[in-house]
Amino acid sequence: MAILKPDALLKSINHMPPQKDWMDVPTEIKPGRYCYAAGPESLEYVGLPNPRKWDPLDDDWKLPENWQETVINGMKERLEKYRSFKIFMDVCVRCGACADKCHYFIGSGDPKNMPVLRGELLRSIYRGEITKAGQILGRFAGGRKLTEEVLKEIWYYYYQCSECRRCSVFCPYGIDQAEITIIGRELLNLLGLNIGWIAQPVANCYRTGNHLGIQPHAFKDMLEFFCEDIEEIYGIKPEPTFNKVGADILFVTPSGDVFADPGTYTCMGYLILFHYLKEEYGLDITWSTYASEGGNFGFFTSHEMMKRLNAKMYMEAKRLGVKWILGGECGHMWRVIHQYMDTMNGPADFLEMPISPITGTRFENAASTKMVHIVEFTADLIKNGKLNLDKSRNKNIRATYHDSCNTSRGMGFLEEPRYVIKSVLDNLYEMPEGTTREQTFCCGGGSGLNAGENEEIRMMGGLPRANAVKFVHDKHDVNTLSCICAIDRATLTAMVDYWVPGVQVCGVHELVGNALILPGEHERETDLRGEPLPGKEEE
Amino acid sequence: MHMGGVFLSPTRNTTANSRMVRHVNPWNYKVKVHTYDDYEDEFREKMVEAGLPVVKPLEETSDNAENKE
Repeated sequence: MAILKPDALLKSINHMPPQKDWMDVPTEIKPGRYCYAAGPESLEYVGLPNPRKWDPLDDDWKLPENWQETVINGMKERLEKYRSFKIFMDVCVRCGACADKCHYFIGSGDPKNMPVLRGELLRSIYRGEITKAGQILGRFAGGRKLTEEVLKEIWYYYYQCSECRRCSVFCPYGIDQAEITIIGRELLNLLGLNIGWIAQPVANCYRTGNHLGIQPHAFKDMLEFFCEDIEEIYGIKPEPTFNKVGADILFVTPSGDVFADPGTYTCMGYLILFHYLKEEYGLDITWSTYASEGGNFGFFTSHEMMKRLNAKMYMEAKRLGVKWILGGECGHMWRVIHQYMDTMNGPADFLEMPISPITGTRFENAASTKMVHIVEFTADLIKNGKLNLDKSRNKNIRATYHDSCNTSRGMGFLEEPRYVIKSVLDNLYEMPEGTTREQTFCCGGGSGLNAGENEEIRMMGGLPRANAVKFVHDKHDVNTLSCICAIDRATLTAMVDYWVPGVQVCGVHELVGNALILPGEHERETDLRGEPLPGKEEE
Repeated sequence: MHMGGVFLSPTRNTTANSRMVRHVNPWNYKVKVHTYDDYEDEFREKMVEAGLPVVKPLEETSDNAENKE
């Protein structure tokens, strides 16, 4: 579907709410704002309920016969299990502090994209179908019945929430709409109402180990292809190992880094770093073709599916007998590792306390999960003077840093990426306060919404972030938006092309790869993208 | 009802230490997973061809298949 030009889209945004009460405003499913339905094959492969062909634009969604009972019982069960969900259903006073904090509301003007109202879509069912007050007083107590029309509305708006949690920062109660969306999607999945962009990667990941369905031989081929590219640039070819029993460390990264530009350059950065560490310090890091996905689209389906996909990391680390696990640059991957992995699939008592064999640093912060983020690992190497870096190779880059929602808000990971970036280049400019760190804006395509068919809502959702990028682009001539998330690298690229052309997107380890001086390298002419290095332009 | 949120809100009252300390979920249950053995069984031939290490060599698995026949 063709999307409006940026100026026209900007002018079309209207924040004036309709005159009627929200419950009386019918929902229309608009092309450009919803994702295509999940195909039956993906659901069947992992045993999810109600696999069939369906289309969100059809009247008949082919729901199972007892669907209302399934949703209401499912909700009751989750109110018992999840304290967060129970509290968030009960305590909201509808103050509206969250309303204008959601990037989808800012960019679309649709009131049902206000977190308070998005929550209310489900809260009204809780009141109307489950609480006594709501059953007696009905709409007066904010309750409504679960009809097919209501279900479709929940589906439409719960796949317009990227689970970024920005609303929770501003809510006096800390109500986290992401938690409500997670449960909402889990309930929708009980009826087979997933989207294709999530369900297909889930099935792929279950079977081949990664979202893109890359089979083991192809995974190896792709990384070797990068090694050949590195050889052309550095004159040195890294030789990564795969599925190696007895390696020191297992490395897991999102498969987007292996497959999609510009993540591929970040992947080359990892390969260069690991080669350096092998040559200089004898560190043996192995890749797995089986646990070849850091990301976890199961997280966007249900807690159970998240657990089923995440299980591979520990199982593979145990099989290979490594000491601990190192994880690549990814957002929701780290949300899962930080928040759920140990509880769901731990204890990882077969792994050791993560200690950097090079610096001796004990990663106490990861004492229980036994999984270290590559940016904290690299920051520690730099802090201890273990990397030979040449900043001047990144002299042409005028960077800003986008805090990914999941790493910043989700796990409080704020300083390490900035420290690494400042160590490999001179020109880092922060975007305005209120758009970074805990208050960062979503890329517009998180939580499995980075599809093509919903481009309009992605560009609308990306507007607040783009606005901040435009500010530093205009003021400081920033030409590079760096980040530590594979979904960001994919979605921000399209988003800045649309709103702020002239800015490229990169991962932090691409910048590290550019600056790292490999022992025995030949004189370098280009960076990892094949662009001439500063001073080499005219040769 | 709203008062509870002040004291019980997990976002406001819990520490982000879940990598450092293990939090036990009392109703955590076993789930169906795709094991490495299942994976290798499906892709063994391609893995061997690509020079990737395998746990069960190809000959062994083809012998087993013959025995079954």
